[in-house]
Amino acid sequence: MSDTYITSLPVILAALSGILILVLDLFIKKSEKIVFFFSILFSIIIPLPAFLFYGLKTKAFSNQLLTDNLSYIFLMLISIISLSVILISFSYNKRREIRYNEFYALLFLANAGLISIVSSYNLLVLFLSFEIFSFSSYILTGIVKDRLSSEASFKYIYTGIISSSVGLLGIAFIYGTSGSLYIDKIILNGNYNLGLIAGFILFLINIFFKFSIVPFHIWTPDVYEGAPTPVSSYFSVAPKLAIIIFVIRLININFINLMNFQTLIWILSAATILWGNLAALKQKNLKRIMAYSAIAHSGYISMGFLIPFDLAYKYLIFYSISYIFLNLSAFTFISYLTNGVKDDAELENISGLSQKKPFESFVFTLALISLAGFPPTVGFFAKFYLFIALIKQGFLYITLIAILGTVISVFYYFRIIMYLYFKEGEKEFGFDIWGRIVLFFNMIIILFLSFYPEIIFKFLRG
Amino acid sequence: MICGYSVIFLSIVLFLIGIAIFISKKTFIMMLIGAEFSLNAINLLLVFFSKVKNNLDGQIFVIFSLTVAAIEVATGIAIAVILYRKHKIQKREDLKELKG
Repeated sequence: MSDTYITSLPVILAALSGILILVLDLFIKKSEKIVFFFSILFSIIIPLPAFLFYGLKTKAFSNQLLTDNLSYIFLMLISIISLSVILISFSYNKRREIRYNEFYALLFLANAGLISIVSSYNLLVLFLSFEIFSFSSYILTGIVKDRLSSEASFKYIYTGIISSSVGLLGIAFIYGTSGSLYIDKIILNGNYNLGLIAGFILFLINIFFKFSIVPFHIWTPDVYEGAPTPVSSYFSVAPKLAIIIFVIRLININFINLMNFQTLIWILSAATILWGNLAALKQKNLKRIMAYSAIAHSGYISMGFLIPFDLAYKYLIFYSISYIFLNLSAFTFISYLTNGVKDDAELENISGLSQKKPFESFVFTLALISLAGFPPTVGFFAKFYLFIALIKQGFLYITLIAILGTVISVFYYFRIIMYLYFKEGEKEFGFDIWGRIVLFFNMIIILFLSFYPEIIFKFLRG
Repeated sequence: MICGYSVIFLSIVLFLIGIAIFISKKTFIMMLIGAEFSLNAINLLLVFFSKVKNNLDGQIFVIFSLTVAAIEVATGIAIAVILYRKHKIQKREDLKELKG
């Protein structure tokens, strides 16, 4: 196969599976189980190019798209994410009467957008893939059509439109000053004048908006609360992972050092860590708490953008892999807290749930302890490696702020655990087999990574 | 030949007018019109830069950005229609169930 096919195969597979699922409903009546089965099948097929071509570096369409090991790592992780979202959304869609074929189709189209963000090497392709992901996610947020979901979708769309037009203005400035849309040529040609720097800042605002860095985070808690919970679990991991890998590419061409953006990223990530953790303290809704915890974790991750490429490659990917599994298991637990008509994720409702659901509560607790960063768990190793790398690079104060944020975060994570184990309550929630399977596999992966964290580094090296 | 800075200045002013419409208007349709206004201001800027740099990429970008603007209107109006039909909400002050 030629380079063009190899490079574009992952995007084509994801987009095609979305379209196929959308039209499947026309030919088959009562297609709920069949669509579910095909979605699982497609999310197993999509990462196959990663296993076939791992180690190859190919470019296509006159260098507008490129795939290398980073894209293949992303491809494997995004399929794990979408697989677990599909599994937990099967019973959720039934309970809340969501149109399942549209749901799965939009999920795959959002995947296609994210895969294409990771592979893009041109600002036009990047902008379009951002928009593909955004529009799929706007509709996914509002797919239930009840009051909260529509309001969340409205807030997401109308802030998202403005942020993407600000990003487009940034792209226009970058294009006007450097005369090119190709990322490597911009860095080479650029005479670093005001226009280019202003352009990059405006362009970064769009990325920070999707990554929920603090001044641009206002949509995050509302959208996570209003969206269907499987969709919130998808938002909390998938776009972040794509942006992390795209920024690792930017670090590779020494973009942040050339542009003197260290101070900007320093201040924004410190503000994100403190604001995310402090605002989570007074929340009463589990989805909102997890949203603020996601904001705080974007702060920890964006600190990692300060370190050089070889360290950032190892530690940021380690952090994001651990974060994916922890967040997925926490949201899997939360997505079963519904009373049929709407989500019922208030904090009091989980009181005493550990007596009725010991296994599920255990996995949730494991995920929370690990997100808080307690020593023998994978979350601790992720934070530890990142902080050590930052201190070695001379960023002492930001690391101290991050450690302070971690200390604050223990407070709200342990309040959830206290409600689970030490309170009395009579509410009952049913878990189906798919949710248990997702929780079981997440538990195994979390425990395994807690005892052998080196395995990821071995994988990344080899 | 028009002076370069005047075109850049014009499109930035148009962009800011669009943002001002978006912020000041209360109804959904007017907010969308503001967002569209600012997107078209950027299109003007892209075409101008494409002419200055003698590079067609900018003009091609405008075609794609117009497509994106069309999708934005479609999704924006769809959600506004849902909010009006199902929940009788027309103005953005009424959207205050999610907060905290």
